[in-house]
Amino acid sequence: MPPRRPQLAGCAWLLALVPLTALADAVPEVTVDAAKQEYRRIHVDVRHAAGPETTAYEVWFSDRPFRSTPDAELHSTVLIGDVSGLARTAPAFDTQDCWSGGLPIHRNADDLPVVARDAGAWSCSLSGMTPGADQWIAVVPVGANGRSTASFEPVMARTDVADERTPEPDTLHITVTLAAVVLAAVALLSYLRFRDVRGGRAGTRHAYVYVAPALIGLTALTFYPIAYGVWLAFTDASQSHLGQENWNGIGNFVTVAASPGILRVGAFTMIWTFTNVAAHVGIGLLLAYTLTRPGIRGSTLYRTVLLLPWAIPGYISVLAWNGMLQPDGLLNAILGTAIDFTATPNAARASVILVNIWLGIPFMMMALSGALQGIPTDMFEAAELEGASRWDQFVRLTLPNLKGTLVPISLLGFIWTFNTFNTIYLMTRGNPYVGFGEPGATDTLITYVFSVAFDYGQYGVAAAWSVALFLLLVGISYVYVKRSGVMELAR
Amino acid sequence: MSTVEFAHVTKRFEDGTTALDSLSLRVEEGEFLVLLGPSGCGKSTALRLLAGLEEVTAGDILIGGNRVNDLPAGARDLGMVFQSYALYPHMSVADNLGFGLRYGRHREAIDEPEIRERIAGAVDMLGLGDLLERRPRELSGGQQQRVAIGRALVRRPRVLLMDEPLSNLDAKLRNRMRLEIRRLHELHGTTTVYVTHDQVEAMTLADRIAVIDGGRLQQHAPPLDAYHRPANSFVASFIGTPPMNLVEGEAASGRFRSGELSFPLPEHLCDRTGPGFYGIRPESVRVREAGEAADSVPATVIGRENLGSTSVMHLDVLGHPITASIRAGPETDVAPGARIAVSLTHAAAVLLEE
Amino acid sequence: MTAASGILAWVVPAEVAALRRWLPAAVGVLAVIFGLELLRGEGARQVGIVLAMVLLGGCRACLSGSTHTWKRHVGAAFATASGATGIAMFASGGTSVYEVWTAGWVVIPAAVALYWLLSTRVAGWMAGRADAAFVDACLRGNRRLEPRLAQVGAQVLLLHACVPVIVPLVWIADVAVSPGNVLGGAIGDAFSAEHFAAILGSAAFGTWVANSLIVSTGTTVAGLLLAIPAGYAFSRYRFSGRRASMFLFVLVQMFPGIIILLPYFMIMKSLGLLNTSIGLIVVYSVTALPLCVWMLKGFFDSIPREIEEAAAIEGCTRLQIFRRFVLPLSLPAVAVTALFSFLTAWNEFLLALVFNTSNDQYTLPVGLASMIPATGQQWGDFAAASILVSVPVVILFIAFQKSLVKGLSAGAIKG
Repeated sequence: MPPRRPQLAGCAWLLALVPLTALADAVPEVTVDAAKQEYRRIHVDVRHAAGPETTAYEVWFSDRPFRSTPDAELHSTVLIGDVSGLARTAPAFDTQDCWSGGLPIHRNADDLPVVARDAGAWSCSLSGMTPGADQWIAVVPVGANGRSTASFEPVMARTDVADERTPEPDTLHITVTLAAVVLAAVALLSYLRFRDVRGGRAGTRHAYVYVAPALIGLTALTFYPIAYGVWLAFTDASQSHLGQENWNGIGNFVTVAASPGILRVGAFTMIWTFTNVAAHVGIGLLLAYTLTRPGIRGSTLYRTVLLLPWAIPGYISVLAWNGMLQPDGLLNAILGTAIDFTATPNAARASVILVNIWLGIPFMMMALSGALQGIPTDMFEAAELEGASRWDQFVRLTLPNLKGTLVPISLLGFIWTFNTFNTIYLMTRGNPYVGFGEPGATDTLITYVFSVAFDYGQYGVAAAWSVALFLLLVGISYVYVKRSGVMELAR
Repeated sequence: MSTVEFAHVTKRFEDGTTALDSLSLRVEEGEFLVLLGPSGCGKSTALRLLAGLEEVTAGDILIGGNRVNDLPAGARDLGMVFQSYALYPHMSVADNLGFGLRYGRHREAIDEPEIRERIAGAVDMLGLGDLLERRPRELSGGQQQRVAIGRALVRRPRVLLMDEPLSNLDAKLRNRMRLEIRRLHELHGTTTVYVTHDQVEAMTLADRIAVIDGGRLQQHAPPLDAYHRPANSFVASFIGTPPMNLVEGEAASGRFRSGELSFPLPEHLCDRTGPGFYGIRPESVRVREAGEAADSVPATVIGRENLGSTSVMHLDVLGHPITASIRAGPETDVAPGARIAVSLTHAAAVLLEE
Repeated sequence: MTAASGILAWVVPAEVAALRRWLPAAVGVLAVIFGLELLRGEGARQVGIVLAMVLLGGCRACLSGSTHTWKRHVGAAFATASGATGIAMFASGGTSVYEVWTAGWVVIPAAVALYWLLSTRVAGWMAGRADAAFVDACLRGNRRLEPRLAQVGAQVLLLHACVPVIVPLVWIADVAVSPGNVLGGAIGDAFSAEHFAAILGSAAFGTWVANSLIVSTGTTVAGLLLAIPAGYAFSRYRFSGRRASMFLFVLVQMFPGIIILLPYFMIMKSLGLLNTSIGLIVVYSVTALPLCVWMLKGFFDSIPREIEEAAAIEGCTRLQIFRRFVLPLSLPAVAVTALFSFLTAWNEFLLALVFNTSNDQYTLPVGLASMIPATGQQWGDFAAASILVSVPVVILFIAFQKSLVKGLSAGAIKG
């Protein structure tokens, strides 16, 4: 996540347009407490004697000395008012830590800091400052009619806490291993070639040269990363210490098993996968069957139109659906409603599933119409002659003969859908939010692992997740293939 | 068992081609009819119309005296053996045989024990005993063929249709299956319509042959009649190997003339006059020494094929190609280019008007 | 006929057969509409839909089992009631496309059912008529009607399938030409080319297009250079390790992308290839490799070996044979594989998102997605950019659809 900028800074130019009228109240005295400086933070103590016209103080800053507010940026605003009945709470976001009387400052219903008119002093820790650079800071009183015109003298401050850059990871070992893997692959191929030539199969010696680039590429950039990923799963690798992983045993797997919300996200992943695959295969088969019937008028046109969701880049379709499902989007316009489909968990889940169904039908439709056209037609003439009904022909002849395609293709669909990332990421990013550190309502295992890796930076845990998911997929595929007996069919 | 009748049946396809042109034909009860013709002549279309797999454009098809034009294929109670066998590839032999009984029109009338009994009967009849649990692709071509026949017969159809059933078998197996089919027909007596382009099959199997060409019926007759008394030049040239020699010319006053060629007509054709085709089978052509008799015409030997017991000579008779099939002997031992004489006057010759 | 009544017990009038299929389908569609009505929260319409479902279901039930004239009367009554419900809904409701469509699904099935139930053919059949004239008329009618009804059913199904495909396209085109940053509004209510102008004039879009072009072209070239020799070797040579390596190519496709993503990221980082086009080219060409190799192997397999053997007898070297005979013959296949690699790289989102995080290295997918952040979505500009990006790709895809689909599904199923 990028560091958060002072929230109001962007609006500074708007305030500069406010016409200036006289506000006679005195400019508070600002001192910088260098002892309390933190990383990217400057601590200022403010002593004020607010006049009756002053309703708020604004903290302005710049990397140059400044005399007027248009030359600086607004950091924070502290209101002056009645604090009775207001709580001293810590802010929801720590951009603006302020204190009065040694305690967290009062905050009003909008979470804005409020200081009593007669408080005399307050202090703020200003976040988001450039480390190691001089900053000028001034506090300007603001009244109902505008900003004080009294001249002010900004105070200089700097945070000396060095920018805590992540050390450049030591990645030499990755490069070295990569080289070793490539060399090993070359050695293996050379050995095989040598053996073939000595074994009298001299005609094949070119073959090794031909396959070498592809095989080496595959080894170095697919099998090695997989092995590396498996190794990472047993280390404490994370964003902050890359390249210095320590062996962590099965610790990451324990973390995985104990993840909050693991059952919920697992259940949703299964619902997501099965609903999608069932709909893809079911609707795809229905459309393919209809389109391959002889004599359907316009079937070429229909086929082309129905192919479009596959032809259009997937991310564009998903983003477009995202727009259509907005409260002011197309779907609501058609229905005459204003529902935010991605706001509540179940509606969001249904939405992402429906969008993904839309995306996946054409592939199944095309693959299945290919398979349908491959079934010999004379068989159906024989069945027709024997008096079998259309339905019996479909169930007892078409389906069994499609099995050789249906089984591998639905397994493929299962693996693809399970691994789908774009649809959910671009529709909801896993939201609606459920709880901190927990997967969101529409997160599947895959999108959750992505956020574990790239939002939380827990590489080791994410790698452990990946390994676990891979084993799960292999297990399911194995059972499925065994059960469906497709191996026997493909003899 | 039923009669089958085509009454002026015409079939035009959507692309405008006419596959059948006013075909009229009657198949008697228990008869084995062979539809014979070159590929594309419309014989398979006729069979598919009868089966209900294609729609009739005009005319009527009757089975057992009832018009069946509008009856769906499944309601016609026919059995059909396809050229490709069209077996159900995912089912065992037993299930292939039982499919029509289990899911066909009469499923309610036939119970499971009877299905088993009928399958067992078909298996015994066709010698498929130990193959019941095999899938079609695990069977040889001949075995698949038997299953296809069994599947067609097990439903006890009114008419059995066969569409070039032997064309996918090798020559040896074809001869055996031909006998088998004839035996089955004699056993069951089912009215059978059999489509083939192979005249040997037609000759050996048929009670009657219907020769079709260009969508029209050329001749409908018992095989030997068609062989000896072809109705026209097409039938004459299509039936018999090597085919009948045909000379186009004119008959007048007891002689047949075609350009330079002229020879006396045999006795039974003496009183015929007018243009036509003189047809004579190769085995009726007699080869002689040059210039021996009145009916001799000079011929030049072009080539000779020795088939063992017989020898086929290709001759040039005054510009007309003539084949002669004669018993192999020393007299056939002539070199190409030799000049000999032949007699085309024979009691088995025919004079065809078209 | 030998047994006319037997025939009619088995052959059902085409109208009845159609109603037996269509009425449940209509009830299914009404169930979906009921779900939509729940979203809209209009109680009266919900009741109407449920009522129509029950009535059409009742009408269907009258067509099952044994045939009686009273069943036909009851069915007709059900259909009438359902039609009346639909007309009432239509009269009381609005005239939006959705509402008209809904009313259509109540009224039309009911009207069709009523029309057929009152026809002489269905009446005769349900009354158990079996005289030869009637049977003949019935069969003749079936011959005529069956293909037409199948055609109508298929057209209705396919049209409904096409609507969810077409409507989003029309909508996105409308958003692209609507002035301002709006999502709603009637289709075609206003026109403005501002979004296209903004996109075509924006430097960022130009950068994304350039990046995507570089990456996709690079991937295609690199991928083909790796895949063609490998596919050829797998097709033509029987060398040790052939089966094992072919199996490896299949196996790779099983791995979830996510298991590779993280190690890829680390490796690219260590090689200093993050935020470069080369990094993406390397990764894309390897990830698309297995499918490309399988596709090409399939194509090479279909080229008869005899051609090469003849050339070899004439003294050509292996390389000459490949260049002069195999490659020209398989050029269409190579083109399809190239297109496949190109499209894969052109549309890839996840790896590009993770690897190239700096704005000037965004590819089109990441760039376009960045136009739709959580807040401040620029829908108009996004729609215009989407159209510009999709149209060439869609045209390519449709033009090569036959070969692409064939190659892809063959590769996918074998893999």
